[in-house]
Amino acid sequence: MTRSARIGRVEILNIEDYAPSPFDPQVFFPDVPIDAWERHRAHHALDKNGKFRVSFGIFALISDNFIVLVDTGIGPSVPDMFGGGEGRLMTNLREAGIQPSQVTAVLNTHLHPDHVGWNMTNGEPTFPNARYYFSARDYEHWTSDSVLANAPHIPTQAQPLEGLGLLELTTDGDDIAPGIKSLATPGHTPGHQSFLIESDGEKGIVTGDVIHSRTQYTDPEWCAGADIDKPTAVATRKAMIERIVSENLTVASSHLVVDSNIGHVVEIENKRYWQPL
Amino acid sequence: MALRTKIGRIEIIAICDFVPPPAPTTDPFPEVPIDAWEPYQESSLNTEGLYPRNYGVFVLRSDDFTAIVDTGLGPGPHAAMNGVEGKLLENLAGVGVQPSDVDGVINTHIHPDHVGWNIVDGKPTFSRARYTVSRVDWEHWTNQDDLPPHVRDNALPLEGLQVLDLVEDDQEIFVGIRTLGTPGHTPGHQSILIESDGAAAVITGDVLHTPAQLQEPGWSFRADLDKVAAIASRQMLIEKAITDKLTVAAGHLQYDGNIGHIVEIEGRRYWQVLAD
Repeated sequence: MTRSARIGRVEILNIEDYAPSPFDPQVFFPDVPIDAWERHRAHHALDKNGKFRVSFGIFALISDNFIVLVDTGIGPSVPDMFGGGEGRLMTNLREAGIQPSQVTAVLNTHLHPDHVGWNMTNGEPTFPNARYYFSARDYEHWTSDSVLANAPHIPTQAQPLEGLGLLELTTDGDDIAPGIKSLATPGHTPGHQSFLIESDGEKGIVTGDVIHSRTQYTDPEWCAGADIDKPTAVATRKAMIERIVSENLTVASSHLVVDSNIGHVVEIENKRYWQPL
Repeated sequence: MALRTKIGRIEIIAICDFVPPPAPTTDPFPEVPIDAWEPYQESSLNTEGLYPRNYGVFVLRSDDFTAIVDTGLGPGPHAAMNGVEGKLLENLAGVGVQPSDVDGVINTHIHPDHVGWNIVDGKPTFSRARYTVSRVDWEHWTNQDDLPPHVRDNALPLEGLQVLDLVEDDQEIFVGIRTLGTPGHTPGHQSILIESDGAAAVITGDVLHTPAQLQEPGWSFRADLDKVAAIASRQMLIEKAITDKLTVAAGHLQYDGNIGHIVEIEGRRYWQVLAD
């Protein structure tokens, strides 16, 4: 159980924003028959009442030269469908010793509301000294007229950054900070991106929403209901898992349960398993 | 659903006699401070922070033989456990094994929770089976003035019933099944190695009582008779399992989570349960 790991000179630190009460797994994975969860019972995929646990959190990447946040959580006011509480990201960041003004960059894996929730606060950038990085493809998708009409978080949490001159648009393979590179992982959203970390010969990845449950490392065909293009999401997930295994990457997946969301993927008898550190 | 896996042509099926209620960690591990469990909450304890107990048994089945490794705590009712009754025979039937199908019963050691169903009403529960017991453990447990009840009722009669085979360490029991000496928990404790078609596994017996011991082999279970020897056996078995990439089956680990692999990442050892 850990909330942090080291990749060379980069520390990766999980910071929780909000954890809703566990709910029926079919709310999150509508296409996965309830019986199929049974084979993962011993892996704590569900809690003892058979409910699915999800976390809304972020990862801070910290080195001597930068403090980078990957995603900004669900935000100060949690939607009713997730329990209607308050996100605690800012309190938890400060408890971890990070002041908002110290953050040098904010990287959004994609522009879903639970990943951009603290980008802006009351019309101001929450992290005043940071550049914000969206994938160009995701920004194009979410600001298209038909999508924007049903995405009220975009005008508050994404678009103002463009006007403020704080926005950087990325494409696959862009260098974002020393040792940190974008990796296009489309499917969950059209322009979804993960982030590769490389430092002193060690490597890691922050997956974003390529992964929502540890079971998907064993069963990559399982799709979250929120995966917009499911065949593409499955292909992306499989390719990412191959890379994780072949390059022995340290992995951070923010929707996994806190304290077991940093780990490795191990291969045993031709199956892959999540092994939290 | 029973956890099961195939080692070459030999199938291992995890079943259990029964699952007793979880216990505070200081019951099985009196010398381990509660705080020391903190890194192992998820892998080793339930959500209430209690130690999950299990009286697990493994069926080994191939085209050539059916064997069971250990026989649980027995039919009961067990007064010390609120009168609960063992369910081994029902659970064996659930995976298609009748008592008369069993060719061999292998006891890893002579403790009450491993020999409980050896004999019922003075007769071998498994009517066609040879019963395999470590010679060293046999000599230890049967050469006492006051025989413990489980020795008197579930071990000693095997000799007079002429179904007993005493075995040494590193002795073959069936094709692909051999003993591996792992003394300490009891003087003649044996683990069971399984090798078939290039695949290999080990049934640990009581060398392992919790996944936390993979990283903390110095943690001694309350009933380890010779703790120093038990630690050495545990260290040896963990190294062997990692080096030889053994599938590992440990009867006291959590039911539905007691067949897996030991994985090593950045110098730490973890328990990885196999999915069905």
